[in-house]
Amino acid sequence: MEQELRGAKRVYERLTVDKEAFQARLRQALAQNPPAPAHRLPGKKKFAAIAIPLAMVPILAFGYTHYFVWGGGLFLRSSSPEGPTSVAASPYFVRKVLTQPHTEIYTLSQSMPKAQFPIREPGRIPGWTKILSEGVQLPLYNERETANGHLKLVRITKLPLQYIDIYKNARGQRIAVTQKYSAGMSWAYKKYYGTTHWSSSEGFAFGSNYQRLSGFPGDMAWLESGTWRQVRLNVPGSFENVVVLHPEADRTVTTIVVDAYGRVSPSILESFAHAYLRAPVK
Amino acid sequence: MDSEELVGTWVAAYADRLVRLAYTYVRDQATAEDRVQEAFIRAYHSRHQLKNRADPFPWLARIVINECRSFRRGSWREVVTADPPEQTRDSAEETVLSRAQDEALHQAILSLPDKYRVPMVLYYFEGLPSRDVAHILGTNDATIRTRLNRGRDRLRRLLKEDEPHGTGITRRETGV
Repeated sequence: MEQELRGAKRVYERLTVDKEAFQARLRQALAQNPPAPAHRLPGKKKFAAIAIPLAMVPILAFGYTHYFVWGGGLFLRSSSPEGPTSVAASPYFVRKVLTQPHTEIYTLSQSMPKAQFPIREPGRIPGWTKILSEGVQLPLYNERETANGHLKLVRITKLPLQYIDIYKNARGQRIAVTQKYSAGMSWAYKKYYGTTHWSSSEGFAFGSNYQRLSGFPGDMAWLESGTWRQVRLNVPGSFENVVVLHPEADRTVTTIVVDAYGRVSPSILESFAHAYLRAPVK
Repeated sequence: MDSEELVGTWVAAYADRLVRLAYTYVRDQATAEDRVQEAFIRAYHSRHQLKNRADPFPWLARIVINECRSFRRGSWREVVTADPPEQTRDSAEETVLSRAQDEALHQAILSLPDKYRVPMVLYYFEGLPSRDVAHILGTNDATIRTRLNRGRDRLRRLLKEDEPHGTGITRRETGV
């Protein structure tokens, strides 16, 4: 049998690739979908913000490196281990996130001393009912590479607190607003304060999927839009969300993400962002 | 190594081997090349996860296999299973008879279920040790050895069954 398999191997090896054409096609594909800069975490420690990433697709975006999908929710993951930001607030996603083991849930008053950012809570928003308002600390799985190359869970720590509000309207649409402290953006803002880096779109891949929003003076704000297929999720339909990077008085940066479940007009997402920015800081 | 250089190195060293591996799943060269292109893009984006830089083939093979499996889950259709394209020149030593036997065996391997076919391809055709095959497929060495044994038994039975009928193109339902 071994001898016969060598003959079959010759048949197997008949298939060859036109490498020049293959490489040209690959380079073109990479140019159309350029990767975010690769990053290595310190030492051999690996961080995983969640347990089951179902899809992971890098994009070129300001400060972010990966999209990934879990529990019906789309996450953005930054290059620093700050934790995920919810983008799609499907009921399934919310239940999955908030009930996963090692997740800590806090009320607003409990969250305030734990948060690294001022939590903003606007009053009633006409047409929308708040159905959830919680501080969340998601688990961070710290893994270490073993001698045989496998990853071993060494401990579970907590991600920084994020504050999540979810609203729904009479038509069953939902909007989720996530507030969190951005260590990376805070560092960048302090470093480039007073220069053109913050006020221009330099370094940000604004294009068909990213539209800079002009109605947020002093902030970096954009509308992200795309189809699920573009992030390689085999689901029909599209998504849109508004992201605002808001510098605080102490020059730290708070990220506010407004995202929708069900088709909601971008202007409504923007109005939610404005409502949060106008809300008094407690 | 810059990005162009890295991609160039991967294509030069591994494109043939990975497309052959993908072909055992999708049974069509153009589709296999597309899957490997996707796998290279994924691999490039997550290149910082590559542990053994001296030999990235097992890591790339795993990404290709995952890509092919995801692709097959996407839809179902019937495909024609056929031999890989003929080379324009044959070596002088090969006789018509031995080529037919080789092709019959190759075809029989392609017709095996994934759990037997993929270890056999990686072990016999790609020359990987069973430990590496186990790592790529996320299982252990003993399981791979068992699958190789059972795969060989199945092959023997398949070839015996085919003897009176000869070989040729067969149609089968596959998850492409």
